[in-house]
Amino acid sequence: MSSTYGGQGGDGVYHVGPYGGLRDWLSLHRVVAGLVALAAVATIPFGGLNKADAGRYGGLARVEVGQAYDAGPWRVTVTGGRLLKDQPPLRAKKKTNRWVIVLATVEVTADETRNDTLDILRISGAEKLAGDEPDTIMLRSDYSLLPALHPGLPEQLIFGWEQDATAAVPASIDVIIWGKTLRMNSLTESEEWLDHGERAVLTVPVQDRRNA
Amino acid sequence: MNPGIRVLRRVGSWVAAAVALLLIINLGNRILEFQRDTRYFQRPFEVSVAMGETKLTRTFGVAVVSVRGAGAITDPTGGVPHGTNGIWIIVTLRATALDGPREIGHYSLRDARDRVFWASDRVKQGIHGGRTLQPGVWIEGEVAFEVPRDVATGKLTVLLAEHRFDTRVDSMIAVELDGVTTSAVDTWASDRTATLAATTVIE
Repeated sequence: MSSTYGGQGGDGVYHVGPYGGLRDWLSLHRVVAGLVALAAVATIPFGGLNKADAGRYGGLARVEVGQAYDAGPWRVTVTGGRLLKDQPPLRAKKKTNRWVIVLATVEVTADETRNDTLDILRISGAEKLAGDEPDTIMLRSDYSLLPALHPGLPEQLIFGWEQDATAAVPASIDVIIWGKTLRMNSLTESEEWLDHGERAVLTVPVQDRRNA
Repeated sequence: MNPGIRVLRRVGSWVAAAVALLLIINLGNRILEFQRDTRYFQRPFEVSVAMGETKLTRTFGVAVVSVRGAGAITDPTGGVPHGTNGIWIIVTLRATALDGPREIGHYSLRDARDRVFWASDRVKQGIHGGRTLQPGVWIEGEVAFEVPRDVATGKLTVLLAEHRFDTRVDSMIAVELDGVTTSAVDTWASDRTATLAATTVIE
């Protein structure tokens, strides 16, 4: 008895049913090509392939070294990157660690003093850091630690991340500027700086000054 | 009574109660919509006082005695001078607790643009550095604020309250500072040898 919808029946003859033509047309390379095309179409709602080319930070604003960026309660200008050995006033938790340093000028544009300086910057592209948050933040002028920042008073800050001595020496790092949005808190129903997240990214050359 | 009507009445009363409850919730929401910003309606109870005048809150008494400024200041215990991109405003005040050991936790300056500057954490503050006030014992000390120079273009007010961050519906003393003018700030800025006075018991 032969199959109604195609296939090789007991009589040795290939029977063509209602889907027989489609089955003949489908080959492996056609299926793969179709899936790739489908995947490409599926990226369109998320920005298409142009965004994907920009990497992980494709959705963020791109800024340059020395360019100011308004990220909500603060305006940030990243001015440089350094690699330093552990030395005063820096004090690594692990003696052999070195420091990946980001220099930045930060001005509070909110209307009140802020003490959340740990929320301003993150870095990427440096291996074996002690953590995501900076391990130290100090004023460049007198090395005051974790200073509160006041409205209308731009301050030059040193952001430092401890790095294991066995890590590769970074030639450059990505510095991500985080920000917040002033909006109504639906729980407390008062205006607060919320939605802490990534806002802009820049690539910063790292000057190796461990022997300077 | 017909059992069907009895059931209908019971269901009707539940529906009526549910509708009444929804109406009450809706009414409450509309009242909240009328004034949604809790930051405004939970603001501290501010009492304005002139410089030199002593004022008692529920828990502490305070008087702002004088104000000065500097371009750099040194801690009462010594160390390096702390410069600023703006100007240091140094306020001398007297304070005591009323009903038991207390701290004045909140020290800030408010300028004419409603910007609020907390007392600086860059210097070792005497009276603001966790000093516990004792009932009936008046102490005098200085509090330093770091502000941009443009605050001198309008009025500058010291705000004092018991709780450092959560000042909602708290008693707050507001003292408008006299003599913080643009010319005074220019003069103060050249003084880079100021030292914060140590806190002393005065009576």
